[in-house]
Amino acid sequence: MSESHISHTHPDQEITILLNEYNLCCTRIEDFIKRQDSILQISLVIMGGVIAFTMLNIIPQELFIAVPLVPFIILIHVLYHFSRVITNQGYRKYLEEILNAKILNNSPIKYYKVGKEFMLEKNPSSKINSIIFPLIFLLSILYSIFMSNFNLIVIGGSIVYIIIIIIVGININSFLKDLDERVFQFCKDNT
Amino acid sequence: MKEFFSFVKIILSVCLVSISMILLVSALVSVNVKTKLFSFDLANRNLILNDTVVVHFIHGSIPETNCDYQKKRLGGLLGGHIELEVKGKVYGFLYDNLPIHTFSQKKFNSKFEALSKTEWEIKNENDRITSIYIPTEKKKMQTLQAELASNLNSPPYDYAFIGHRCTSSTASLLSEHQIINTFSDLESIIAFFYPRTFRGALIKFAKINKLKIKFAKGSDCHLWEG
Repeated sequence: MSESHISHTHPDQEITILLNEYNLCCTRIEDFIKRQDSILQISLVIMGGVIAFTMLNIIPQELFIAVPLVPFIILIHVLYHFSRVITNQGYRKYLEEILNAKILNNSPIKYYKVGKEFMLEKNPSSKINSIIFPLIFLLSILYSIFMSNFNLIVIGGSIVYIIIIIIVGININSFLKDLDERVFQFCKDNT
Repeated sequence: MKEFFSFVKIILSVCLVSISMILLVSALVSVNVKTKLFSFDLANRNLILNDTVVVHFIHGSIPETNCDYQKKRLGGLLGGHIELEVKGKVYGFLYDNLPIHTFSQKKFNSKFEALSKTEWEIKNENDRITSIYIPTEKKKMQTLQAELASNLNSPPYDYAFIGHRCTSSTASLLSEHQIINTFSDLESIIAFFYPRTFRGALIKFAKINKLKIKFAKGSDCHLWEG
């Protein structure tokens, strides 16, 4: 095999590998969006079932403490997967930069910038979407408190749920702040 | 400073976990006791229910400033009182003197008192009262009456915040004589910690078994609970 043949195939292979990795990254991010839709549908069905059960059956008031548990678990689950998405966003930005550098001065791949600008930061519906799960959680707490006739155990349990969510929220918020940029920088520093 | 903050964090985490465990255990015990109460088979075919015990719930309240009827109960809105009417006499468990004990002590600050139905009605004519009539066997009524008469002379337990008060005492008596489902004293104290919890559960029990419930509205110048 001639030297020119080796030097010609090597950059193409590199671009193919990078493109595969880029596509995998994009798939992981899009999977989260699809998963979020199914999680929302499943959680609404479960909450509907729980509400119907508590309204149609005579149950002890203290059992209402379990009502916010479903959206609580789902909220923690969604927050975890959201943090994975932001990590993948940072990695995708890194891959885009390398791919654009290899495709000679054109920088045609702009999905990271487009996604961040128009699907996240400037998109009002993404802001509305981000409050749906916390809203379901808060509504479930209010429902459990009212339906339990302000039972002290249910009120106490609701306060504990809220404290835990605030603590988790603060920790996750500080972790997620500029996470994509930190991941991007980490990838660059470790090249 | 960093060490101090991490120490504070540890203490707060321990407190949060402890409170969560207490709430969880309380909820589990309450749910267990009340679920069994709701499924208690009152109309057992082998029983002849030829007598009735009445549970009187005096609702907690806060009197308004200009109200003539200024009777205050321990616990305010979350307070109130529960009494048992057995054969024309109304029995109640309460404290001797204030302040009440936080935990049960060996030297009791408690008493059972009994009033005739007429005296009791006069004493509580301005109170909001929910009365639930529970049918039972004559035999069980006799043993309950005997125990209440004995308790008048010598109360079997102290009146304490974390311990028996009127709610858990009444629930325990009904349970002990199998007028409702059986549960231990500890379960009674946890599940029926204040009058509203027992009243709510017994009202649901009464609705399931189609029992008689009477309601007296009470004075208009009190802020009543429930």
